[in-house]
Order: sequence, then structure tokens, then C-alpha cells
Amino acid sequence: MTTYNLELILIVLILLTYCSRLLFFLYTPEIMNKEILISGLRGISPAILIGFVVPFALFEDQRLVFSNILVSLVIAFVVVVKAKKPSLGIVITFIGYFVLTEITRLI
Amino acid sequence: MFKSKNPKDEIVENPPSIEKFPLIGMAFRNSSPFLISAWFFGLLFGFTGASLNFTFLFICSLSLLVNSGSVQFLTIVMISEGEPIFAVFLTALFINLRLAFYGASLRNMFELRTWEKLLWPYFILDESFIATTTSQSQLQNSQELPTKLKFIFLYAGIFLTSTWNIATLLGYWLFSSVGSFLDIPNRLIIAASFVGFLALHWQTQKQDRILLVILGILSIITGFFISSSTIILMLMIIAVVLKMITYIQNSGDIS
Repeated sequence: MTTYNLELILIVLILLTYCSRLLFFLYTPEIMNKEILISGLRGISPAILIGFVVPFALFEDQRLVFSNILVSLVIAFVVVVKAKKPSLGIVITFIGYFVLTEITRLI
Repeated sequence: MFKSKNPKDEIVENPPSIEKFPLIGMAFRNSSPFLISAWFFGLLFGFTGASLNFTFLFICSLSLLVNSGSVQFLTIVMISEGEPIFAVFLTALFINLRLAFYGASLRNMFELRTWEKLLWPYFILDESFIATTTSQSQLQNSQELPTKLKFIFLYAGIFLTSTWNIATLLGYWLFSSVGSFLDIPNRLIIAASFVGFLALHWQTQKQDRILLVILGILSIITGFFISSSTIILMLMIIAVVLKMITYIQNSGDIS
């Protein structure tokens, strides 16, 4: 099992995040205004969203799992697309998950 | 300097609805939609951190000192999945790149003293950036705009950061108190936290739909070989490259 030095991780993350914020706040080099770089960075947001939702909903220990989690996420996705309210996503997913779990238990 | 005598112009220059409210009120109004999500995600972060057996001090330090929601979630998930430490840092670096761009954009909005230049960046968040740019458009014709925006940004940052931190404390306490009665898998918490934003992105950013489908297929294919948290890093690199290629192709089409 991997062991971590949590203090070290914390210090590096603090420095990394603060320096990222500070860097171009103090000085903005000309290259940072290049549209190609800004365009590339726009890809990070959808990648994080897919990266957090799809693998965690479908896989467990590198095994494909069709579970109540997946069904409730699909329901939440459809409802949020219709309602256009992202805050509903998490609430619907949790309600869907608990209802499905109870139904499965009763059956 | 020429000043118009037309009373209508004076109303445009000093909109009464804005001038009546102090800056702190405007900062609160423009950041209030995000305060609700800060409550929710802060609670979830504290809850998830406690359920993954991280110490109270580590979780609170992440919220207070790192102060970057997605990096915090990713860090605890990647550590709990036993990912290599460099992958944690590389992923954090990728996510934080957007904050660097916010910094470059905000730099031209304010006039700051030297010590302020060191404090203000701490509050650079997606939400405080949006609240400030919204205020900028509302105060367009206002006098001393850079000074006003400087304080609106600060107040919005304080509101959001304090809300997130209080919610984290509550989330951690919640798990300690009732966690054993609630059987919530961590995978559900992580996926559910972002499904709403994924759906909204799908709905509003139609040009990204193909990218989302490609990334989804890739994450399913690679899910059989690598862990879920490493997939996020891989997807980020691929997404950045694909976006750049698309930009070059579109520029070529235009020229």
C-alpha cells in the first residue's frame, strides 16, 4: 500500500495553487494572451467533468459495473438537461440512488 | 472635461439602483448564487474527506490554505486510490492553470498596493471571478471603477471562502455524527457532485458535445486498464491537445 507524507502534499499543493494564482497577477507575459493557449485551457473544464462522472459511475477496481449509481446518474443527467439547474443534479442522484436501493432490497 | 447637461445621461452615469447599495451588498448579491453551491460542495468535501478517513486537520487545511474546490476533491480521491504523488501534483497543476488566466485578466481591473498584490490572488476562484466581471458590467459608467471592483472581488472571495470552510467543518462533523447510519459509496458522492455541471455544460456549450463524447468513450476504454483518478489526468491532457488542434483547424478555415 502506498504511504503518503500528507504534510508534504499539503505544502506543495498550497505553493502550487498560490503560485498559479499569483504568477500572471503580477506579470502577464505576451504569450499568455495567445488565443491558442486559452483555447487549449478551455478543454480542461469538460475533461474534469467527464473524468469525475464517467469512470466513477461505471468502474470499480477496473471492472465495469452497472449499478444503482449509474442509473441514478443517467436520470439526474436527463432531468438537469431539461431543467437547466445544475444544483438539482446531486439531489436527484441521491434521491434516485436511495429509491433504487430500497426497491432492490424489497425485491 | 465635457459633461452632459441632459438629465437622462446623468442617470446612466450614476445608476441609482447601484449607487444606493454599498459595495459589500453588491458583492453579496453577485456571489449569492455561488454561495449555495459553496455550501453544498463544502459539505460534500468535508463528508467525503471524513469518509475516506482523512484527519480533520488535513481536510480543514486543504479547504483553508489550498482553497480550490476541484483540486481538493481530486487530491483526496487520488490519495485514497493510491495514485503516485507526481500524478496528484500534475493534475493539480493542470486544473490550476485556469486560475493563472483569471489572474492575468483580473490584473487589468484593479489598482493594488504591493501587499495587496500578495493577498488578493488568494481569493481568485471561478465564482469570485464571475461575480467581479458581472459587477464590472453593472458598474460600467461608475466613477473609481478599479477601486470598487477591487473591494467587490475581495468581499466576494471572503464570502465564498468562509462559506466553503464552514461547510467543510459541518460536513466533517456530519459524517462523524451520522455517517455510520448512511451507507453512501464514495463513488456516488464524487460522480453525483459533478453530474449537474456535466449536464449543464452539455446543454449550454454545444460546441463541446463532440469533445465530451470522445472523452467519454476514451474514459470507458481506458477504465479497464487504469484507475479512475488517473483517467482524469489523461483526459485533461487529451482535451487540451484536441482543443488546440480544433483551434488551429478553425483558424486555417477562416484564413
